[in-house]
Amino acid sequence: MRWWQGFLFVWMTATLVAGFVYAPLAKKLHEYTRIIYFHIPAAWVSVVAFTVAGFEAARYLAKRDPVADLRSAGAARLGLLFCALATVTGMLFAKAMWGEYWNWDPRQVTIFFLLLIYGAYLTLRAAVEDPERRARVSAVYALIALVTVPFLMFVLPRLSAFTLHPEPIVNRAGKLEMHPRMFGVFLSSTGAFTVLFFWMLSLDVRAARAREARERPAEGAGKGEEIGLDRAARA
Amino acid sequence: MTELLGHSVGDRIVADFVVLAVALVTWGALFAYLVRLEKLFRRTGKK
Repeated sequence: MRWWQGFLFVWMTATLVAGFVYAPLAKKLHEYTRIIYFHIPAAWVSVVAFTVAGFEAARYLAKRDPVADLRSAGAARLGLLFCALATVTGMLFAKAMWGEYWNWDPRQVTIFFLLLIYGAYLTLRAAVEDPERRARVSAVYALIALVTVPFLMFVLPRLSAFTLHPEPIVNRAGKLEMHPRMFGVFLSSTGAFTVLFFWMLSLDVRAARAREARERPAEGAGKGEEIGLDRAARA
Repeated sequence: MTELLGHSVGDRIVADFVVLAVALVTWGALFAYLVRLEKLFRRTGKK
């Protein structure tokens, strides 16, 4: 185990414990305050992941580096996973606070659109067989999808006059109204989630490269066999 | 003061620690899985 992995373990564990025993409860949210340390970091990581996916997609289009394509796909996949986590934790909070899992709140609707957009990205990737074409088409899609992220995550939910969702960390007046201890645990959680994402992304890329390396010789062998069969047939 | 949302303070403290325990076990399991993957990739990389 590397030193930073051990550090991440202690960091995340301490943050989890601090969320329950150190940070106070928000007045209106009571025990449900703790969702802040999971739900918002998960949503944040999904934004970071989609940004990385877009950035790596641009890098692929500029340099045709296959690793950039793998990083872009891995980031989009993980972004979708964290986006789903944010949606599920949000639904649990909605059930506890508003009585229903799904209320068509603007934030629920916009995150649902993000899930659809990046779900379609993975479908598109799975549908194209030629690796180069798949990488090129996915990169263009990832760049277009990235344009929608700030609108769906930050702009549209704030434009809506009616929302059940609690005020964001920086509220509509542009002020940060959170107890310093809560804010400390929230920042710590967001940081730990972000490091965890980059670790998972690095593992995902290595797994994809290992998969490709395993499949390539097999493909070559398959082609060789076909050529051999063709020659045998001609003979 | 001793009751909130229909649950006693004792109930809420127990529930808090159950949720914390579940969160810690989940994190521990995820971390162990990631470390195992890391070791696997390092081993196959050396080969």
